[in-house]
This record gives sequence, C-alpha cells and structure tokens, in this order.
Amino acid sequence: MDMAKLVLKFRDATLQEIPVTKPTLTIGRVDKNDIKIENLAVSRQHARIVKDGDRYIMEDLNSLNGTFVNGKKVMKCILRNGDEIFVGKHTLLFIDEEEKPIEMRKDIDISLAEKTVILDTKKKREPIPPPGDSQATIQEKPSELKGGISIISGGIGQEDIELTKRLTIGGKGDGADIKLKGLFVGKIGFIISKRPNGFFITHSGGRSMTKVNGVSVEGQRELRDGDIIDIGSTRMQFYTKK
Amino acid sequence: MVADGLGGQNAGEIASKMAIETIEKHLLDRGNPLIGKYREELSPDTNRILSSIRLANSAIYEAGQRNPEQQGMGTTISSVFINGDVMTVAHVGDSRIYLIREGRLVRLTADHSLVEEQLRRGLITELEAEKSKHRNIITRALGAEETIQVDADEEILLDHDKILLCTDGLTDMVRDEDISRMVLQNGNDPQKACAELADMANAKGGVDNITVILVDCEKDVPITGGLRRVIRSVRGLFARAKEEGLTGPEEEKGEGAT
Repeated sequence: MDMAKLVLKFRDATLQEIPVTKPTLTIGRVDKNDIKIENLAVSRQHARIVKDGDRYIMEDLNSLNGTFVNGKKVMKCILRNGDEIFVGKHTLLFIDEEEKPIEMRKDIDISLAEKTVILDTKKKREPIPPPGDSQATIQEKPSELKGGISIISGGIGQEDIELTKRLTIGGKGDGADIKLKGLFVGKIGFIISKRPNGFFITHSGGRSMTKVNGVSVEGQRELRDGDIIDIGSTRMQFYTKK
Repeated sequence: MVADGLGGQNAGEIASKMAIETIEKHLLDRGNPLIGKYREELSPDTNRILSSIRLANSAIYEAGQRNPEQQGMGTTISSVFINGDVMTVAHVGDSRIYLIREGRLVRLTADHSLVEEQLRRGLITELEAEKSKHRNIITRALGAEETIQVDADEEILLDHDKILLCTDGLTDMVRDEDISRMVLQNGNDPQKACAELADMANAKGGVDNITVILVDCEKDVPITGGLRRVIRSVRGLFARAKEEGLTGPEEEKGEGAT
C-alpha cells in the first residue's frame, strides 16, 4: 500500500517529496514546521494536514495570504488524490493513490474567516480563477474628453485655457487657473470640474455671481459646447474638442 | 482618515496607526519635498496628500521588513481633505468614501479588492460578487509592497453635502440603500447616524471592526466678501472587538481647513 505523500513544487520545479507519516503535518515559514517553505508570502504557521482515519484534512491556520486548494481559497477541506495546495508561491501536490470510497468534497468550514487579507501581489491573478468561463471583457478606456475656455472680453492677458485638470479654478486668487478681475469677484469665483461624463461648473465664492447663458449657477451645472460664462466683467465661452 | 489594519498579532494596529501619524505629519509639514510623481491634473493639495500616503507606505513596508513580528502587516487608507469648496479624496484598499448629496448616495472610491476587480472586468456578476468567498481579499494595501499606487480625485463640495468614510466592517454587512436611509433619517445628528449604522452592522452578525465617520458640510453666510465653509465634522468610532483583536482600525477625524 502506497503511503500518501506531498510533492513540494515551485513553478515547474519539484523541490521535495514528503511522505505523510505523521498524524499531523505542519506547513510554514519557520523551522519548527514539518514542511518549511522559506518565502515571505508564507506565514510562520501557515497550514497543517491532519490524518483522520483514512482521510487527510487540510486546515489553514489563519495564514495572512490564505491557502488555496485547486485554485479555491479554503479554511479546511478533505484532500483528494491529485489536489494542488497553493501556499504563497509554492504548490504542494497531494498524492494518495489508495482506493477510497468516493466522497464529495465538502468544505468543512465554509464560514471563511472574515479577516481581511492582502492578495499576494506576485501571484495576483493566478490562484483564483473567476467562476464561470474567463472570457474577460476588459473595458476599453473611453477616449478622454477635451474642453477649454476662451476669453471673449475682460480677461487679464489670457486668451485660451485648456481644461486639463480635474478642477480648474476661476478667480482673483493667486492659485486661480483662469485669472479674473472685479471688485466682487471671489478669490475662487467658480470651479469647473472635469468628469468622465462631462464638464461641470459650480459657483464658489464672491458676491459676483457666476452666470451661464445669463442664468446664475446654483449647485452644479453641466457645461455644453458654446455656453457663455459671465462673472464680474469677464465674459468667456466654453468649448469642447474632439 | 480611516485606516483598517491587517496582519497578525497587533501588527495591523501598528500599521494603521503608522499610516495615520505619518500622513498627518507630512501633510502639516509643508516644507518637506514631495515624494513620487507630481500629477499635473491634480491640485498642489492633492499632490501633497498623495505624497504623504506614499511616505506612509514606505514607512510601514520598511518597518515590516525590519521587524519579523510585523512582517506582512498592512493597512487600508481612505482620506478626505477639504480646502474651501474643494475636497480631495484619496484611498488604497477597501475602506470606502461616500458622498450624500440631495438625498442620493454616491460612492467616490472603487475598492481595491479581488471581487471588485473581477466585477469591473466583467468576470463575475454582482450577485456572484456578493456571494463570493474572496470578498476579504484586497489587492492593494499600504505596506504590502515597496511602492504603492494611490487613487485620488477631487470633488467640489456643495452646501449640505455629507461625506461618509467607513471600513469594510460596515459595508460587508450593510447595503448602500440602508446606509443612505440611515444617514438621511438622522440628517441633523451625524453622531446618531454613525451609531445606528454600527448597530445595524452588528445586528446583522458583523464580526469585523467598524469605523464610521460622517462629515456634514455647510456653506457659511458670506461675511467678509468671501464665502467660507464651515465643516461640522463628527467622528463616530464604534469598534466591536473581534475575538482576538486581529485587526484594529485606526481613526482620525476628517480634516477641515478654510
């Protein structure tokens, strides 16, 4: 009768064969483990394999990066011949060729630890295949919107300001992207916000109101190609580019 | 800021505490040079916040490398910084930031979690995501690697906006609709809203720590020609200790500046 064994592999290389001779076999990064894997992705005490009658049970010992059996994160499960156990970046192949009554795999403890874990970054997308087929429909990045403001009258030296920033500020202050003048114009008069779905203007401060097509801006207002913006003595026009 | 630490023993607590302290210090000390690439499309304030989060990442990563007890520790970070009408939102991990405006709840952050990435790529459906066993796996954390990619955005605040920051202890248990309802029901009492949200998560069997911060924004009456924003920032911390206290979220109140 062949004894069950574990084959420790790293990528395609077989590193070690370990016969399962003890009732409990521990896996971890430090010396006291039966199977020592020196890798930072492996917890000091990562997992163990316990013999229970003629079955072998794999238990994760609350490891940081988790233990995966055949690509599935498990806390505890019965091992079957040919199962691949992923620990950090290493694989342990479980071999138990003795005939056994077929037992459906059950995760003994399905209540996964609620503890948040960091996915081991190097292995990021490998050990956990998504359910169903993996026909990834990677989203295409939508082409970026382009817009700008051209000063029609009352500007201070500026003619055309491209709206490349997430927020573009119009006002009297030093930090303003669109320089404005006027006694009642605020340091920050208005702010134009660039979103994936368009440009939006908000009046911010100063007693001089921001108007779009002659209407005072309340809250946030979406800008349309050709809109006329007035504040203080400055008139400007918003445009979009293809 | 909300930071939800992860890592064995009390390493998670150490990581989240380091994050909050490092970020705060670097933000306030404006003489320090910025770390990492300057992002032209974002304001100088936002670039400083990005820089401070990158610094925190290095500090936690290095501490983890030096100290075997702290190896592999990490933390999420979700932060808002308000300067007048402009709010910077920056985050890493799965602690979320919501904006509640005119009765509508909008999530401002995309979780850096395996499930949400799978969802974004169209690999799984929303239902599968909700039932997924991988919900607790995050793909980015401060301290996990030498460098970090931080998500940042800028928003314009309007009068009566509310900002909610929270750890996954809340959002794993309480649905967005319920968060929205609780916040709106307790419109004038952010502290009570936070308490009720935490209670709700616990009632649904929440086992993880919960941190909730609700910021209520009001536009002040113009006094000196300019408008100033007054932030009533209320902090709610309701952490129900986990059996072993494996993770410990750290909290700080939202930063308000004019």
